[in-house]
Amino acid sequence: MALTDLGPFADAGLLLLASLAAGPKHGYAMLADVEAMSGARMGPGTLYTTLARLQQQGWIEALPAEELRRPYRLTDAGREVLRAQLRRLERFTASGLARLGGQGAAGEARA
Amino acid sequence: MRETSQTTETTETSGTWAWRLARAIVRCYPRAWRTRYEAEALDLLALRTPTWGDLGNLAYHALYSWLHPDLLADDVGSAAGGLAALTRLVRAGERAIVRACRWAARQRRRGPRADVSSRADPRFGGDDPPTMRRADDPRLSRVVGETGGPGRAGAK
Repeated sequence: MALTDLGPFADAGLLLLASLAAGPKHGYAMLADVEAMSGARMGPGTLYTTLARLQQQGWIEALPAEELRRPYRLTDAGREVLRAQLRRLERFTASGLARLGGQGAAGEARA
Repeated sequence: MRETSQTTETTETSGTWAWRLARAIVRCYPRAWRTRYEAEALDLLALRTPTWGDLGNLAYHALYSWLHPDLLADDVGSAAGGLAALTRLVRAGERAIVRACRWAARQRRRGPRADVSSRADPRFGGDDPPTMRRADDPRLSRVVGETGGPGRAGAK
């Protein structure tokens, strides 16, 4: 069970899971949070398609609607998937930065 | 637990043309999707002015929802409804292709249009550069010769 199960919605799924990690939110609050967190403006179509996929996987669940707005929250399975994905990204980031650092040192030595 | 309502600084945009267009697109989604998300989607679109990008995004995902009825497969009748809608979509496309073919056949039977030579477009022998007149264009003069159309080549 990994975020890549979402196919083309893996990136959007990661952003939404990360947003919900801070607590339940409804659609508009998620979009605003994602924009503040990543600088990316997510479309409303992408939001609801991804929410449907995340619900299907059992990674988020809908809470009772507050008037027209329905909040969603992360499930335990969603939290595990998010944690695993962020750890993978952490390793990837560390590896990429180490390579950049190594190249920088080699370049300086040649100069 | 974090407060779920973060809409205090938003602008109410319902009633604008963009919102009305977005609402029209939302109504194109499958029934199962609308049952579950329509109200909150319209509320969201009322809080954030839809851009052209948002409208395109909504339209793309409307099509995606029709083509992927499994998206809301746990809703009763969703998969069957999606299949029926897909069939309707294919049939509509088929009818459009047949109509286009019939129209093209009618146009072919009528032959070249009489007013083609009066266009200013040089490709049609308009008044612009003499070198581009129909009589000088081997491709067009051949067509005129074959069809006996009302060319200006003879008049010149």
